[in-house]
Amino acid sequence: MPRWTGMKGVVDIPSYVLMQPTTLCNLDCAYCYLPHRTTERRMPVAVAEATARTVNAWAAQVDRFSVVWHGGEPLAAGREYLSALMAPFAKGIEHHVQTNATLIDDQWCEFFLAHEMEIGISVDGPAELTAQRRDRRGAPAYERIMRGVDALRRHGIRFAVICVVSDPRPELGRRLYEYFCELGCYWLGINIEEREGVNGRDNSRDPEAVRGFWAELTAAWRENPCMELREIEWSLYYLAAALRGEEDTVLPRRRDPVPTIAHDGRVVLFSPELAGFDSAPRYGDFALGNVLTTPLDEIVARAESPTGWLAEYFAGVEKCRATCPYFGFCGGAHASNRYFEFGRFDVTQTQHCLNTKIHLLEGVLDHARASGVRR
Amino acid sequence: MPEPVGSVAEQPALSPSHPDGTATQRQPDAAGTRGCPAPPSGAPADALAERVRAAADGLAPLVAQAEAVRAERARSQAWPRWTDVFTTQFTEFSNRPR
Repeated sequence: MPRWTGMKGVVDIPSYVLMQPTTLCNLDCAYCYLPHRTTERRMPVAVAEATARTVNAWAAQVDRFSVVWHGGEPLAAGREYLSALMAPFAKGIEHHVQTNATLIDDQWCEFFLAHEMEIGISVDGPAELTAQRRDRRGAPAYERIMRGVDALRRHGIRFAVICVVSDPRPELGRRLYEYFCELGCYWLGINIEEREGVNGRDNSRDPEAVRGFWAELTAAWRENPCMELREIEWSLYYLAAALRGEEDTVLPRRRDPVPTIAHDGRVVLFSPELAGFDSAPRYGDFALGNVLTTPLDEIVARAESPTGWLAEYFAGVEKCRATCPYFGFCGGAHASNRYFEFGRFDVTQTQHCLNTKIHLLEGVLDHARASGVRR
Repeated sequence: MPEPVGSVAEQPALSPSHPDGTATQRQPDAAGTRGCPAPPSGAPADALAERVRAAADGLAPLVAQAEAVRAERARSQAWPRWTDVFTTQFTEFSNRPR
């Protein structure tokens, strides 16, 4: 196993920040991790202003910087309010939104175009596979999602997709891929359902089924590379380096802190999924500070001298580095998966590691081996 | 498929035993870590590189296709893709073109 050298320390300037304009979501998806999603807690403009003071300075020092509006459902904040939150950020900063698409209409599309926003939507495949996405009355959201997609198409707005898969199995890989090719997204990311936040459902899955799912997804992409496919392309990027004997060069040298700014200004680093939990036993609220009282760059710099859960997380990362042959591919188990699966951060392999990293890489290798034999 | 977490009502606090009160948390091993077990193939844990090399014939066309589509995107959209400049953890939020 190589001596992994990537992901040591934290970069001074992140590549993006996540903003939570509201905790509210108009949907109630079965696998959602978000607490407070039935409650409307809007981000005060003062939080955006305080965040922007640091972000604008960061953006002036790098080629690209992004602000990702996440939720809750970010569009539930409304156009006027979201516009007020975006206003403090300097021109040239890229704005992205991850939305359930149900509120997208012509007016929203005009808003997206006016603000040059990049759009990511959440949909899990055809109607029967998107059945877990529903409103609080239990009504399926699929038709409303498709109306949003139609609006994006009418306005010529490209969109990425995040697809949650709860039951990965080989035949689903091809079916989903063909569906999303037809849907017309330019980018697809697959999230195997995770056990985190308020979603306590077991995320153990049959290893062979998960590997078969990824192998079949690889096969479908190979036959028709109609879109950017996050997991498969990243796997091949790593495997190409491994074939050259350069697998330790793939990870960034230092870790991006991925600052998440919660609606009230509290800042959580590394795992957005930890935001919004106020009194975790032993850990408190996971926040390293609040932009209303401390500049964001000072909060991020605290990661260089970690205490509390962050120190425990970094210790866990070092255990991953020392023991896991897949470290050069993933950089260590995510903080939120460690916590929500084990209740602590200094563990190593999570079920999420297995489903989304290890079985992924092995599934791509399975396909490669099988296709190599056929050649 | 198990039923969803009972209520979506406000969750006032996080419990590591999970807010729905039904799930059982996984346990670390005695060393305080779960450790990384042998890979799914049953091969030794340090044999990943060997398995990659063993799949080289089948990987070659896949890698070539991935490089080709990435190069084409870079040409047509004038900026590197996220797969070219991988600067973040591998999260759902890495959805911007990089």
